[in-house]
Amino acid sequence: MTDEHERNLELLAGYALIALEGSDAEEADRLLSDHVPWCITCRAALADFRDLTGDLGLAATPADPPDLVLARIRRGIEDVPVRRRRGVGMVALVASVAALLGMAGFSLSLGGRATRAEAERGTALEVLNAMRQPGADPVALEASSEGTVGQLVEISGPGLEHMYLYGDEVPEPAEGNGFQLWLGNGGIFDPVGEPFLPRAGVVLLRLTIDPSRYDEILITEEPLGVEPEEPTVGDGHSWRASI
Amino acid sequence: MQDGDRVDLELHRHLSAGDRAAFEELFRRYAGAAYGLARRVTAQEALAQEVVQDAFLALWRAPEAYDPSRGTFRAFFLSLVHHRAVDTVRREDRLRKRTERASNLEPVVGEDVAEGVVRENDLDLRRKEVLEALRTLPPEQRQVLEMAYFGGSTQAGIAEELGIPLGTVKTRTLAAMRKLRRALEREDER
Repeated sequence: MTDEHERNLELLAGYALIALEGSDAEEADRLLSDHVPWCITCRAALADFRDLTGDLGLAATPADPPDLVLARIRRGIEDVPVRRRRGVGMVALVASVAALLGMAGFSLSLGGRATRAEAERGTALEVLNAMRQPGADPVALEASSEGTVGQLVEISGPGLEHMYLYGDEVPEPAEGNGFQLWLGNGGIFDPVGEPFLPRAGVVLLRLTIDPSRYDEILITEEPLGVEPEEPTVGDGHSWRASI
Repeated sequence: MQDGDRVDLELHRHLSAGDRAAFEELFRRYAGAAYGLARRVTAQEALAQEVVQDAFLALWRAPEAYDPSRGTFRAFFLSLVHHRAVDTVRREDRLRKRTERASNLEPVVGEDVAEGVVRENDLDLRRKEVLEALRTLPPEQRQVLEMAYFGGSTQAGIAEELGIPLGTVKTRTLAAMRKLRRALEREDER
């Protein structure tokens, strides 16, 4: 095994233990995006390390949680069946993002400036990486207004630092409008981030937010330049999902 | 594949169809291991309860997050709990205070299995194998592994705390992971 591969394995071991930071974490991200998918040795090693980090958990002395934990969980799942999330086929989603990355002219279609294209490519790589994490949890948003097309997927989950929004074949909003992301809890929605526009039908957003505080995600079409207070549903394209 | 893994797969299949009984059975099987792990990493009962609750709710809400082609359910779920626990510790910025609190908890190596909750099932057997494998590690390798896994420390943090080069921490960690893997593979082959 080459020195380079040995170094890769050191990074992957640290990555599986969630023990990397700084430049090591960045290097591991690059490794996971650019090398591991095509390297049998590294893929197998990472799978082994992940199995191991699961088994290591058994080394802690088991202890029954207080009854209130199960009671809280039962309360937490009571309303989930009626608003069950529509999951996304992981394989199809990975293929879709990978195809985007591999598309000839990706930079050209997604950004006039190299820096912007690079940033978007970086986000796409992060999305791919996020989907490989344990507990990564992609959820498809459903069109909630007539005539709305396109596929939008929210990706978040325990262990992920960011929430991602990936969209393909997303239509342009009406002139002067943009798309606004909202997160809701109990029917009350907060606007999140700036309005965005699809670029050649593609949406790639990275948000530093903890979505576990919310139970619904909504995207609506809103006039640009006006800070929206409440989502406008039914006038323009919109999508929503329970999270 | 062990018998327990097959049971988990079947339970997960039912859970994916919204079967609440299957979910509760998975809770019964994994609550002890999950809570023990969360308690060990967070060193706080309240945080550990939060971690376990969040992990099981995440499982209920998105059972499809587990892909059987990527390994055992056990590894998936305990990794999920571990990630959640480490995230919680880091978010709460309680790492600096862990030393005092951790003194009230049992150490991993050398602990008496009989002192824990008695669970004569496949998970308990696997636990014994993992503890046995941990005992085969040289102390310096076990130390960095435990500081990262149970202490939630980064490798850079471990290097600083132990006063050793970061490269040494990385080398010891990889060596420990390889040795553990080999030891557990031997157990699997028996």
